[in-house]
Amino acid sequence: MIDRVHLREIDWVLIGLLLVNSVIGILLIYSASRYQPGNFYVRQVIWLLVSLAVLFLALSIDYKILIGFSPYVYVLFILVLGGLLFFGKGIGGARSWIRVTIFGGQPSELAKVALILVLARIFSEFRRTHLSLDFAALSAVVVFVPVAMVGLQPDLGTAISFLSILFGCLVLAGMNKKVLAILLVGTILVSFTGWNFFLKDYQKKRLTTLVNPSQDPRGSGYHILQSKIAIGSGGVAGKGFKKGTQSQLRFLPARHTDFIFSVLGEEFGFLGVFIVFLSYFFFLARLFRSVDKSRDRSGIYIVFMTTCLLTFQFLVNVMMIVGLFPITGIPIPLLSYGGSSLLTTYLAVGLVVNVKMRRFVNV
Amino acid sequence: MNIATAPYHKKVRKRTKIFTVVLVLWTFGIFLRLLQLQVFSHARMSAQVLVQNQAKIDIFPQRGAIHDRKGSILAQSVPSLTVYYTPAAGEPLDLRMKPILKLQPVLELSSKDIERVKIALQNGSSHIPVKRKLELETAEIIKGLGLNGIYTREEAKRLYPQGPLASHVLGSVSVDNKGQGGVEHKFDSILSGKKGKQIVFLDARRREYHFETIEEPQRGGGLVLTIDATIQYIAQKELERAVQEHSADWGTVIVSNPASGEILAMASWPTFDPNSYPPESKEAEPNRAIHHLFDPGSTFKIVTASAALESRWVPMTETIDCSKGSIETAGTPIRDHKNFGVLTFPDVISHSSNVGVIQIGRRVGPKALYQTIKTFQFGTKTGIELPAEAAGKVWPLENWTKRSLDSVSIGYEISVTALQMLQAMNVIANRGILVPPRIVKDIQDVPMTQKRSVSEPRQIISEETARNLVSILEKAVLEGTGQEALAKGYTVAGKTGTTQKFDPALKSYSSSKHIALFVGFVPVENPQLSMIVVLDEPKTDEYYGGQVAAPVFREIAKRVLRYLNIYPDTGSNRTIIAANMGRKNRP
Repeated sequence: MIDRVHLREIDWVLIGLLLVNSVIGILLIYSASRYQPGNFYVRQVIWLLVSLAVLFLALSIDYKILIGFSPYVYVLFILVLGGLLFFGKGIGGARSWIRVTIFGGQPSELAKVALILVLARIFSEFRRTHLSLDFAALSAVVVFVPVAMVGLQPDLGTAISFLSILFGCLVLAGMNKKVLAILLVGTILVSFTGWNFFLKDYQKKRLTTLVNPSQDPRGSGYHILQSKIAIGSGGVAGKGFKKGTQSQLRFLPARHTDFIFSVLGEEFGFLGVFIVFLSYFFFLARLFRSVDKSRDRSGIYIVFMTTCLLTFQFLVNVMMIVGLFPITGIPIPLLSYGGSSLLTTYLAVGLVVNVKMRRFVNV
Repeated sequence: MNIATAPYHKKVRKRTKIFTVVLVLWTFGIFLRLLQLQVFSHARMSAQVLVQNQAKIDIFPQRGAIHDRKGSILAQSVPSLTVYYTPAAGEPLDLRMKPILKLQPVLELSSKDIERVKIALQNGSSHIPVKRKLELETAEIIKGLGLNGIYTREEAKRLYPQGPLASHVLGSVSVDNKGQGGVEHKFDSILSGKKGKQIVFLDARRREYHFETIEEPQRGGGLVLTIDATIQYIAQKELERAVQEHSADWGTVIVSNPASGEILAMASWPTFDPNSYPPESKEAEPNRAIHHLFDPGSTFKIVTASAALESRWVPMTETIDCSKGSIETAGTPIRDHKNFGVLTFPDVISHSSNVGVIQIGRRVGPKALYQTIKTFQFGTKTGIELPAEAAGKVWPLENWTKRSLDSVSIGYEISVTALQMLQAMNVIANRGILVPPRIVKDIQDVPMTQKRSVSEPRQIISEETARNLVSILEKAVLEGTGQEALAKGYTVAGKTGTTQKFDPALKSYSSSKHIALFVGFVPVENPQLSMIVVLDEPKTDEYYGGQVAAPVFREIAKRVLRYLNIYPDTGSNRTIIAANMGRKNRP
């Protein structure tokens, strides 16, 4: 299935950037968790190798075939997520984990890929220049079902990430101002009812303490405050690798996962943050510039939605860390510890590479 | 490439571009925020790191020991461990209480203790003492449990190895090792030494991982008291026996060396054990020897007599008619307990005739009497090194009523402490020299300049007057009211007193409630001991000072004189010793 032409067209630069950022992540994870039991950095290395293997395996299958299967995959994930709601084991208060042998996994992470594929399939049939209501409604329903399920786990961060895929998709489809307005009103309505009926107390607290973290420095404002202290005390040059007191003394919560960026800010300072931003920027820019390098519409959608998702997660996580966004548990792709997240990112980027390498083939 | 898709690609590129611009602006915003945090508020954030990962704590120095004059230990500090708890931040209350509940059976915590810790947790305390001053063994068990946030810190525990011995002189310490009462309070600043300072580095669970001492603690200075533990023991035992025998409300005994003013024993009953402070009964706490004020009654007649002799208004040879048995005063007439007939001046005192003393007092006059009272330092603190000494009450002359002269001359309308009365007796024992009492012999490990200066002894009445008084008081013991005080083989001088208590309810002196007193010294020629015995409200048939207090004097004096190796100075014993010594010296 994979022939010479395709091999020549593989975007090695993109894969290289992917690896560079992953290695940066592993270094940070090492610093943040080396004194903790669990060998997180070793596990991350193993996950990296597995993800890389899966990426190349996925390249051998034409993304068209994957899109063809996507409705089934989507339904499968809906069933799994629904099952988790009833039978799932809670980790950190959220029923989002499936545990098979030693490695556990979060199906909601991988569901992002399924979502990208199924939306690409829907919009591959879309021929108009501007978004129509029927397509908007269809895609919204397709996305909101898993959003509701994951939100009930409750894993707000992942649920919001799903919405970013939908948003990217709609923007690309040419959403007009009217739809945008409807969406905005819808978002407000959803957040209003969510606030009053669905959000747990601790989630509400997180939102209110964002405005004023010092009102409750030992309670839910703790995470934001400690993260800001970590980043601020890093200064321009940082405290040095493995020398961040905030992370090494465990003041920082979730050091190796959601708050890995705080460790970066503390140990490598503003300069370190700048460099990682730069390397991440190259990675995302490469993705953005791949958007029109596709032979068909579904390919364009895949690339754009992937880019949108990764950018969104990156920006929201950093905002969370500097205290501009409520703490919702969104990891930074590639940098944060987490096998499911890493595998999902590799699969998504793999799709982009897949699309790009097959752009000159006639169907 | 598909032709139909070409314009579409153009549109896609345009949309991507707009989208990218938005995202880049977004990123720029985040960058500004990072700049604000990492560059502009860097100093503030760094300071906050120090605030939450360092704490300054005190290092408590070892408290100085207290010894008696012979060097035996009355109070000392021994190491003990206090269990502290520092909860992890952000955990719910029931989770934070878990280690405490696990400790409950080991430490035998009461529900009150648990409640106290709970409240401290709710208030957000970071160092909560769970149980203080544990034995080192118990602390080891707790360390073995390995509970999170539970740690121990060394803290000195005050130990009083002799239990209730001299408890009123010593006082005790609070849980924070602050002196409470007695010399522990008076010399707290010297005993407690100087706190040191230490910086502790803490991790997020408030566990310490590094210490740095900035200031070494300075151990407290030690005290040496003039108290002799053996004499104190004798005095306390005899006092306790007398109080119980006569069902007295309270009692006090002070034993001193008159020449030096040093207090050898100061006992007060009821008493307490300073190892379990504060005492259960409030009654046990005050040091009656210096806190309690009473009308000195007949014991005060020594002052009236010395005023008479010193002013030469009444010579020793004067005879005074006491045959009426009572004397008219401004109020009710004052009576003697029996009819004495005509008495010489010495006999008036030794038989304690109110009628005679009042006549003497009238001849002395208020001015001279008042002057003598002030000379004997009544109404003024003796300056003993103990806290909260009472000064007593001497009414100024202008407040005196018509009856006052008569009352004061027999020891009413005036209030004194037992120590003041003993000080006055010491003046006579010292042949007219006032030596202020003292209880601290030495302060160790403290520069000389910081030590208290004791006021110099000074002659306040003439030696002649004092000698006359000595002979009168010796007679009082030999022939007068104080015969029960006579320790066999020794010459004793002293004065009894039986005071009617002022009843605040009746607003007059009670005829049923008494204070029995005896104050005196031994041996007469070269006084080695002086002593005052006070017993409040003896409820037996006997309540006179001569019956109740004088025997206590005798018993204590007998045992203490033997303990101090002071040879008897009278009677057959003296001749035997003289004979033995004579034989020994023969070649």
